[in-house]
Amino acid sequence: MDYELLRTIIKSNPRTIGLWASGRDQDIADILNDVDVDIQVNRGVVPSNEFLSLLDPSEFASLTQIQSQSFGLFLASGSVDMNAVPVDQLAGIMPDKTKAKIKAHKTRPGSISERDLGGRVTAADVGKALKPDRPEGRANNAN
Amino acid sequence: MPTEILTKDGTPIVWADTTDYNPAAGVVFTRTHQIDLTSLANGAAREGEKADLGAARAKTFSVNVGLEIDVAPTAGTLIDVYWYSSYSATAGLANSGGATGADAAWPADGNEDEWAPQLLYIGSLVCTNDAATTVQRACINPAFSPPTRYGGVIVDNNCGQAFEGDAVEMYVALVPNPDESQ
Repeated sequence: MDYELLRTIIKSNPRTIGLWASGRDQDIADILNDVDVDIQVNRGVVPSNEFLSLLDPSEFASLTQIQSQSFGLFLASGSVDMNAVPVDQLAGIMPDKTKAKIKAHKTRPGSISERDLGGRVTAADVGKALKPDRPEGRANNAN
Repeated sequence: MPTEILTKDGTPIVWADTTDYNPAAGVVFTRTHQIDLTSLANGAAREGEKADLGAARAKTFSVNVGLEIDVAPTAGTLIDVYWYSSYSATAGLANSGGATGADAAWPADGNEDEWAPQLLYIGSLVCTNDAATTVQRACINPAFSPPTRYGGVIVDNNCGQAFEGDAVEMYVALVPNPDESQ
């Protein structure tokens, strides 16, 4: 975990600015882990049955032998890395609707933490990142 | 006539804040030693001043805490309590786990996870999903046996939220439970 980057994100995000000083680390972690449709991250590896669903039914009967065999190669391995180069190559030879579905499936809605930090953050991560801002280990929530 | 070995409650040793501690009716502990837990942040820890448990002391102590969390934490999260041991009455001498023997942020370099294994684990408050003004109280160890005459408590906040912004209700209490022959 890049704690310096996490600290920068927390102190610049409008949704977390009001929380870090008062010590609401779990709330900050929850916000950074929130899945947002406006944030797209690589989908990564999917099972082959999920990949099969990308073959548009209206195009199934008209697949050429090359297209059919190529698609079958991907199904045979049991799982497919949607962000691997061969997936782009496969999409390139498939009919339009299937091509579009494959391309659209390369990403999924993600979170700030996934996009910028590579994975989920915990309240403990937030606490470590904000140590420089908390003299004597105290939050700024005194009554 | 047979002799019965019974257990009784001795005089509690209570870490709390000298400025704020003023618990509501129903809290029986009287402050004896200093720790200021005001606003203790998640991922931070604080040590209490060194205490003298006595040349002759009870073999076991029950350890009780009363802690108040500013914003409701996730239920099941933990606030961990440790003991630093010492054979010296002098605050800054011979303390385990990098403790200074005074009410202070612990440890000096901020690496709680690295230093904690040099302490004795007493127990944890398992938090409920309740914010201030609910004071969460629990006996976190019914029979803690300090190995040395001198030492103190360290409170490590891992509940995901900061403590309340005052220390009016917060304490850590060691209640000696000496055996008595009757």
